[in-house]
Amino acid sequence: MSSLIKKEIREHVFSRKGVWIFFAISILFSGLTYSFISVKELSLLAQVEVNMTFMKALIGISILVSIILGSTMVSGEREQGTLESLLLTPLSKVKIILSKVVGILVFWLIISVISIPYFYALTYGTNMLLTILSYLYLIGLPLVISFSLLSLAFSTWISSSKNATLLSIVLFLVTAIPMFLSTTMKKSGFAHLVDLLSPVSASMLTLKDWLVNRLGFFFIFMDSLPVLCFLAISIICLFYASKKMDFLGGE
Amino acid sequence: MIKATNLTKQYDNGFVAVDSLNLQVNKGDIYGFLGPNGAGKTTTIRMLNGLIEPSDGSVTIEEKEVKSENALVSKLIGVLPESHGYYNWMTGREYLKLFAELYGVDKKRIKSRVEEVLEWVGMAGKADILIGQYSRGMRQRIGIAKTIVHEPSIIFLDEPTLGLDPQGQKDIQSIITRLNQEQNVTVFITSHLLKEISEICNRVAIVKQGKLLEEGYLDELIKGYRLVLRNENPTLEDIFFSLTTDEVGGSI
Ligand SMILES: Nc1ncnc2c1ncn2[C@@H]1O[C@H](COP(=O)(O)OP(=O)(O)OP(=O)(O)O)[C@@H](O)[C@H]1O
Ligand SMILES: [Mg+2]
Repeated sequence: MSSLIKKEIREHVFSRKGVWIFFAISILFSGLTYSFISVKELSLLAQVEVNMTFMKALIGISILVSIILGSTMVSGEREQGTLESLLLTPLSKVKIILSKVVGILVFWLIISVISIPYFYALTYGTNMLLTILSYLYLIGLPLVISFSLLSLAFSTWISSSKNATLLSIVLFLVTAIPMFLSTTMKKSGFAHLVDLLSPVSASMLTLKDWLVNRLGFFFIFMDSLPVLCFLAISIICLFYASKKMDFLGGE
Repeated sequence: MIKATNLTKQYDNGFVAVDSLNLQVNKGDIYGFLGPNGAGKTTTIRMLNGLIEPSDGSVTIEEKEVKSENALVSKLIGVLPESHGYYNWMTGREYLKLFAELYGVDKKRIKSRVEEVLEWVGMAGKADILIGQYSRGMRQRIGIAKTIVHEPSIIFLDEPTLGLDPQGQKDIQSIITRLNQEQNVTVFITSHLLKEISEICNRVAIVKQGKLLEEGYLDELIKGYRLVLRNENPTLEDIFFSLTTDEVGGSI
């Protein structure tokens, strides 16, 4: 299995595609950070705001990237005709998927490490860095990784990588709807329901309660429950999808 | 030995691609599996490999049930699928090394085994070029090298010479016969080149619309068809057409 993990990392992390994504993300971070820092006279409150915005941008971009990463991993192999050979080896289907999951984890580990210096710069002069990083690794990354795992599950179920990507994007848009709505609009039935259940909304709420309202552990935990549930659901979905993995693919 | 009993595949859309097939391939055979397009050859191979589940019937390979002992069986067999894809970003050597590892070849043996199979398929000089830059013939050779890298005792080749030039076809044929003679590998092969099959196979089966029409040792078949075809020396092609072509002047 370790050789397959190496292959996944080479294909998706240290490949031209992977390095290009890391590069693009660093440029983006630098641009954001520069524009924030160049705003003079940052009050402490404004600095909290800046860090929240940066975190939101990081999570939003990462979810999109994670969808692209996850949704091509299996259907891509199916389309290029390499999945059949993998399934013919003595490796179990679950292990084939697991190697891809490790690839995804390494990918996000690198992105999170890239973001650390930027957070260092943005939180400079405050004691927020530890909170921000804890949030990043405990809530932000699990959320992003859940989207990767779900996209991977879709890509296992659905034979076409285009359709798998589409489904993941629809899921992201639905869960992200509350972010675009005003507080009053969120009061309406459907939007309210989505807002309550959406892991994306929950992650934002957690960020606010942790960083701004500085609530205690119990409240933060309750806030983040949808994220943790979402992670659990995506793991279960992926597990079942991997058992059903078929090189012909079925809708 | 491969033994299939009452093998049947009905796809989800209701189409019966393989219909109660019984066949047995003995150790040391080069077994040619013939039939027109859509006869169910690839479907049969996939069931024999355990890649798709039969709707009915069972397969054993070396006395092991393919369905229940899948991991064990997969080490005994090597498969070159019909539409075989490659990781274009790997070199031929890296590709073989990956599969040697996935098949659990002894770590200390991997390096030398990869060199061995590269020699076998005549790709030793081109092993460090990216597969994306290989020609079709080179890909097919690397594919065969992958098929045998873990020293399987039975190999399945689904149209291994498809799209190759005459020299390429000859080369692949001689690799197959050498594997069979020198390494005692049992070969299950499909091809539309009847001449190729009659040159390398000792036994053949002919299928059409999922049903087995004829099976046997090639020389015995030829003897048997002398009378039927009123031909002193019928070729495999004559037999094939007499079985698979619909009666002329029938229901047109
Ligand atoms: N996934 C599938 N779902 C439904 N029908 C299928 C599927 N795969 C194959 N078939 C049908 O089953 C039949 C047999 O297909 P198969 O690929 O086994 O034929 P084949 O003998 O290998 O043909 P060829 O010589 O063209 O490779 C065909 O009619 C094909 O349309
Ligand atoms: Mg076929």
